[in-house]
Amino acid sequence: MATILVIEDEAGIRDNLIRFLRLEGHEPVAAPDGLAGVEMARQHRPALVFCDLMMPRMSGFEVLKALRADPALAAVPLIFLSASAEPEKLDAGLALGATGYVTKPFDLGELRQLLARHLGAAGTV
Amino acid sequence: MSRLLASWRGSPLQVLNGLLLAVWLVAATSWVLIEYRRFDSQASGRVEQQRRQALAVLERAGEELSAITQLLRGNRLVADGLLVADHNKLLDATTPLLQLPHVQWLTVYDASGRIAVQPHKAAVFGQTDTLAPWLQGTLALQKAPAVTVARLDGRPYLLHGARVDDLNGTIGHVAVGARLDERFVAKLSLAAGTPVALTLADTPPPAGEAAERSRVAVPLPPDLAAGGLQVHLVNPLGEARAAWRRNLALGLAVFMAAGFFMLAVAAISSRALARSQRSLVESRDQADAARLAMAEALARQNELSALRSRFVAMTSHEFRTPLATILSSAQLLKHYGERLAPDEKTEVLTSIEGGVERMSRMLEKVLHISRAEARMLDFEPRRIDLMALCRTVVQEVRRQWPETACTVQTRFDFGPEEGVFDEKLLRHVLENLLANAIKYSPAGGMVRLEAGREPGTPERPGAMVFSVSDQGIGIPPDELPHLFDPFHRASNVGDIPGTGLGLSIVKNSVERHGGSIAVESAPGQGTRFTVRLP
Repeated sequence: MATILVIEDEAGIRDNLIRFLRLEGHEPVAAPDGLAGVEMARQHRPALVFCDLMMPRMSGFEVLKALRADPALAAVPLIFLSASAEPEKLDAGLALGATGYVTKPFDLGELRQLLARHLGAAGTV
Repeated sequence: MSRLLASWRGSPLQVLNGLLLAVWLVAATSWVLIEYRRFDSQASGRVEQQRRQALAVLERAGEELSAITQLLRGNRLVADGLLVADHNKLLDATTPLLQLPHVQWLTVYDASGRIAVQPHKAAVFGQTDTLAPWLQGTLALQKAPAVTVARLDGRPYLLHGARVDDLNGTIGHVAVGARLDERFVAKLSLAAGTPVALTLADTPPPAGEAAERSRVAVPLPPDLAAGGLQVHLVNPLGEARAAWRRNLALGLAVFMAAGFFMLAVAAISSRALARSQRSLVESRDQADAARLAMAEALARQNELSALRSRFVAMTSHEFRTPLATILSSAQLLKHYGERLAPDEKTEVLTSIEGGVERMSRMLEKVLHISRAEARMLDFEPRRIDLMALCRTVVQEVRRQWPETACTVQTRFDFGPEEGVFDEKLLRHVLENLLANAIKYSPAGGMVRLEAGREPGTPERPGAMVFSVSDQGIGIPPDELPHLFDPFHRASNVGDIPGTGLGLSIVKNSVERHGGSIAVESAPGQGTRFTVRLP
């Protein structure tokens, strides 16, 4: 049982992630853009963040920078959800301190493994 | 002068040609003048000399003439004007005259006029034996006599030895050395007792040069009545003049030829020079054009490369996003389906539909662009309710952007009227413009859709004008020219997702209607698109 933050501007994806996390026994919180996402992170202190890259108001990279700059949130694992197939972009994300990334369309099983790896608990899919 | 020279941009070859032409002109003019002076001095001396000689000849001729006269008097015509002369005596009498310098031929006149026997052809002066048949025939035809004493190679010949028996049978041994033409025959209608005609000739004078010979007429002695004697002398002045003319003609010909040659050389060289200069300029222009074309091609290549990157990025993002929705929905239903509440199941299924719809729209956009590029865009105008369409579009856009911070306002300055448009294309226009206005106004603001009809007549209604304005991020001025290029997105869009196809579709749709689209924009302040459809 952990608080997971989903920052995603696409409502369909966001809603599905929330359902998935809930069904996996976590406590999901969500934000529709980067700026709101950072705010939510500060507010809820999530155990892990799933974050989209391209979003209005604040991009995923800026969210990452903001979290890493915040001592309270600097260690929170952040996994990018990327719709981009450009590896250099993703590598840049990792260089900035992202924990990992998945490319859309992602497999829920892959997300479960990531959750298990970073939260130390694995469910069954 | 120096300025003139400086302004004259002749090539070395042209300068050389000019100099040669000038030298030639001076030389030719000098030559003509010198030649004329030489002729003038020579001719005047020669004329004087010739005149003196001619006078002397005439004096001698006068003396000799008495002998001829005696001879003529002793050889009266026998019959039909035919001269029967003692030819040996005639030869003796005329030889001294013929041997005088400058004497060309002598003509003796009778009372009826000049008996001008034109010495004719070498044959006339040939051996009398061979001439006999010809002479006979001629005399038979002409029935007229003449006596010719000819001089060939400086030796006088008396043409004789032919008997002309058929002329009344009483002819002596007479020769005729002239061609007797019809005109001459008329003049030879001699009556009995008419003085004879005597012609002395050497080489026949060419017809064209006859005028160049002077004629010195010496009256016949009184006992020869109205007859006379002509001594034909060479006119030295005429000869000199003819020579000078020949020289002048030759000189002029040479002068002209040389002039033409030099002009031709100058023309050819200047043309060649101009051509080479032109070709130099052309080749330089061509090189410039080639460089420019290469630079343009390179720029175009870079542009295409950038376009391809944008297309890949766009398709990647725009297809992956709905795919993510669809896949996650499917997996939720598959693995967690029994734990989902019925409402949730419905929502998940709906999100699948949404994702598919979105992908279909994307596909539709790409196909639209592709059809437009191939000029195969369908256009089916028909009567539609404009107001209804505008409202539907606004609702649709609001539905697509439920979380927008923008306020969408509409203002329609037209009544409930219909217009003839392609509904699908017009929907593309309005939807894309409105969606863009919202999408590129992340901080919110006013988005206005205004529509109105320009003034017109009942027969010809004015154009419909649609305008969509926002207070969004705007478009950098230098990117406006590429605004409607497919897949092109302005540099200031940041992370705002988009295909770069919307405006391209708008433009195609507007143009398919024969309309126009205009854009005004200021970065950071907003954008206004104005569409005018006839």
